[in-house]
Amino acid sequence: MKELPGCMNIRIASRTNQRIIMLNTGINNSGFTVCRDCGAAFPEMIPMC
Amino acid sequence: MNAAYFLESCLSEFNEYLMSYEPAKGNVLLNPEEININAFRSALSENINSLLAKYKIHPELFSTKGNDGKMKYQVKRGLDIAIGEYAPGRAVVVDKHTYQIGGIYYPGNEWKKAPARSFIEAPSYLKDILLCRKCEWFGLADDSIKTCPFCGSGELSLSRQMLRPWKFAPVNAEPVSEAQLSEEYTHVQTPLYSTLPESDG
Ligand SMILES: [Zn+2]
Repeated sequence: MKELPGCMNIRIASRTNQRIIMLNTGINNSGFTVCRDCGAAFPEMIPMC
Repeated sequence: MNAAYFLESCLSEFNEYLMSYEPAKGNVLLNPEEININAFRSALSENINSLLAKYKIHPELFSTKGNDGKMKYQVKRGLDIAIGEYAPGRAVVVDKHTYQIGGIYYPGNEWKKAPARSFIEAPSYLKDILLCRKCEWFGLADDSIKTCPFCGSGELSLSRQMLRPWKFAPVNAEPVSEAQLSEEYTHVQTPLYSTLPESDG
């Protein structure tokens, strides 16, 4: 893994067969509310401040 | 009857029946003079219990499409596209009608009192997520991760849990008018991506 000069948090690497996690964090990162019984779900709307 | 229904609703009754079951003499398949009926009972019960264990980890393998003849449209998208475009609250246009996604649903599970519960209780669907407060790295929670794999910070905390969706379904299974849709819901939500810096190739 190579560092990128001047960028503390960026590294470069070429890879195959990696597990990538994709996350939908909802509107303004507020997530979703999901009913554990029936699966009904809606986005949370916590205002950004 | 589908397998999920049997495992959830009938298994204990079936086990009781099995323990009291006595095959008749001369029974072609289970002749009590030729087989050990006690060994048969415990082997069958053990096999079914191992199915139950598998069902708890991967419920999607057991839910068969029961009476979903009423389903009108089924739109297939890869999970990578669907988690942004079909996320709860989003509007989806199918055959000129607009629907609003209202939840996560598995066809054929309608008979259950709590159709989502077997998924939500399965560790392969609901996962803990670790978040680095410093650099915002995130990943699956794992006891072996003590510091942030990217910046080395020890400020890791459990964030909101991640739910891997099975399928999405529209609110009330019917179209909505444009006026009913709220503006904030309609823009595309870009997913965040994460991977681990180890296992370098
Ligand atoms: Zn970090």
